[in-house]
Amino acid sequence: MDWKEYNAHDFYDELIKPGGEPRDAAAKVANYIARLSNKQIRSRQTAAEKALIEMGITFTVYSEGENIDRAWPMDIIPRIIDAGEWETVQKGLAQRLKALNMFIDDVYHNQDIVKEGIVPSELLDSSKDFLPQCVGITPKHGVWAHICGSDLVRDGDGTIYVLEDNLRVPSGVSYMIENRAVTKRVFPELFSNVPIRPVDAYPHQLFDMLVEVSPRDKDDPEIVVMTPGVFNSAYFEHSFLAQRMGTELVEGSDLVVENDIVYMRNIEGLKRVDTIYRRVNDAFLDPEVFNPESKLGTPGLFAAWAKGNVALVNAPGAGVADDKVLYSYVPDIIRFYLSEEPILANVPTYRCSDPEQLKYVTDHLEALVVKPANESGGYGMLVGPAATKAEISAFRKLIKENPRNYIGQPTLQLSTAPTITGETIEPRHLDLRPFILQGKESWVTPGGLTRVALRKGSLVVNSSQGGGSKDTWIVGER
Amino acid sequence: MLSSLANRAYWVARYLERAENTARLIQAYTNLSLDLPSDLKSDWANLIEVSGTGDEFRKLDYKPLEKNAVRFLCAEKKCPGSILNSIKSARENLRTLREVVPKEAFETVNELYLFANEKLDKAGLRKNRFAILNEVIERCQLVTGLLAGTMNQTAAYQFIRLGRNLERGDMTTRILDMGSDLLSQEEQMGAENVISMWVNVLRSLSAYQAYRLSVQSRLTPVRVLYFLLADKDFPRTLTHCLLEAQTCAEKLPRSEQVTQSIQHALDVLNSMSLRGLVRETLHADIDRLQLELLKINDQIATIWFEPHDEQPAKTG
Repeated sequence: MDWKEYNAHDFYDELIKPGGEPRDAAAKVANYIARLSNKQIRSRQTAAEKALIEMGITFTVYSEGENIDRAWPMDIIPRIIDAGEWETVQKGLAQRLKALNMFIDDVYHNQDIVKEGIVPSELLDSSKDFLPQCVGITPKHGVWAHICGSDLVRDGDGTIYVLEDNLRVPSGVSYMIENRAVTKRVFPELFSNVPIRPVDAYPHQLFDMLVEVSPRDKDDPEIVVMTPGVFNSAYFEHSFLAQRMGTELVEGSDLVVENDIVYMRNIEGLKRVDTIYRRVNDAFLDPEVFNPESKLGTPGLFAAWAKGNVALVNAPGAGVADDKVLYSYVPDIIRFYLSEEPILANVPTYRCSDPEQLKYVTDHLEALVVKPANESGGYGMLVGPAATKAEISAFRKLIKENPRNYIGQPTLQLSTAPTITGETIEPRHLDLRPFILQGKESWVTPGGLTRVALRKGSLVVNSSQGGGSKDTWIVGER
Repeated sequence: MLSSLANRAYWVARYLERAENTARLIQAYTNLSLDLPSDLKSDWANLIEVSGTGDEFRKLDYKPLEKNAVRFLCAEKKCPGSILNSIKSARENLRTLREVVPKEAFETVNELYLFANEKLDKAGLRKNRFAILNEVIERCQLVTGLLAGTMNQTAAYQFIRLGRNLERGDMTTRILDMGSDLLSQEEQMGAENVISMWVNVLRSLSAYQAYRLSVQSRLTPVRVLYFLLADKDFPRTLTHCLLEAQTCAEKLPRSEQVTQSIQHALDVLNSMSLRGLVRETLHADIDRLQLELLKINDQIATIWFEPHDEQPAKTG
């Protein structure tokens, strides 16, 4: 592979500078790949794909009335970030989650931030994720969102932006760990020459955090992972994390609440549960309080949590800070609670709830990305430059009908990284989802899950929509 | 161990054993019908009754012809106990047990399902039947062997053994029930056919050789019955299954009531042996034993699975 022939055009490439020189942190990897023929690279990619199948690394797609386990798509060329740069990103992410947790706690108590006129009260009143049942409750350490998966993107000028914060049930961390296991198999030579920060501490950090938030102060509280079941698309991850932490993987029907205490049903009898890492959405958590039709939850769970007898991770109602309109206020939220300047940049965001900004958005749809406030997975959004005239006018109508539900953002020049395509290596757009934990203290994954749009020119990285992934290397001494 | 997990482990084993035993039953019945003279044609409706799926069969309004009956028991989606549905249910339950069973076990059951799904529909025809059913039996035994040889012998494994032995014991009583029906036709059959019939009963449980080694005298219906109920050493006799189940239960927590009901079943069986088995009361005796097995199953569900006492992942 000759990097002189590799051309990312006007985009910022994560590994290769314009002209074909590798960036410093990527130099060893780029030089190594340069010595391989396309055929050799291809055969390593094939070996990785085999390893993924053998290791049973899958994600579930629902299609034709059946659930199919698909092999996880992964490109073997790692995405590389300099350790020095990452240091800053890490601090920025921890700062952000700390402020967001203070915000959520405030929202369910005094609402000082509304009284000070920083966040408008309409925004909370109209939020689908504001749960009135949570008012007045204080989870341990004041933390509501213990696990956050923030999506980062890099623009054409090299600036890293936070695109969104996922505070409900973010997924993908198991793939971060498994991707590393696969690259170790495929490029063992590189690991001895390059200082790469390991990623497999995550399950231990997660476990420690789950212990920290247990309502009973003991060294060995009972911790469980709660899954909606085998048909959930992230079931692989639920099972993976439970296995790595050595905890039980439960479904709602495995739990029972008596006198506001949560127990799991064991063959030995009932066993008290202290912390539930739940991967079930708020709405399905407890049929007595939320969706009464839900069979995925456990009746009485919410009351047990409200009484402080069990920790729910993340706490119900944390999603109030995971709203694309609220997102635009995060820099102000950081300044308000921490009296610090935000370390990481927010993407400039137009709020359609504001008449002037609404006008700007509807007048410039061709150039903007428009997102609904409460969706994830890339659903229901408009990418202006890639949309047809008909799609744009249909979207204009949608926005005008419900302006509160939409935000507009300039189309970012998403950065690229070399990716193996059929015959050769070409630039493909990507993002990065690091995971941030907060219990007593905060912890950020070194790197995260890099998602890559495998189709040429595409900006959609979601695995449900044809995206792939890459191992992410934080390279250099800390 | 979570109750729901224990429940699924138990049923994985029951479903797999049921698939294997149904295949054995059909093989034996087919063999028998080949041996019987044409004026004593085997009654295929009887086979359906033995398998306990008579209601479903009648609902579908099939004629009780050989081809229909066998296809129904092998591959009918609407028959909850068909081999195909049993294998499918085993697979669906095993899917959520992947944390506790060796990885190869799921892969093997998955392959068994793919095979069953493709081939079982063709087992209605005699020329295909033997090879297809034999492969089902072999693949089921592969799973059993794989678990025995590679699985952690923790609670999950005890539930698998428990499920396997109770299902096995249940099928042995069903086969004996079929034999007791045939006893009533003995006079019409002639001595040669009677022997042939009981050899087939033994063969359906792979018990012919074991019987010969253990019972060193002339083959008679009562001796066969006695062997299949009371022999302690052959793995498919009712006594052996109950003794095995007893050792599993003893390794599990809170097992007193379950071990008591297993002991009760063994006592009932003993008292029958002492009194001697006779044609007149045989049917009632076997009914009584099946009832004992049902009680054990209910006891297991109450103690360890509740409220997960329903059969999980029911298909069909």
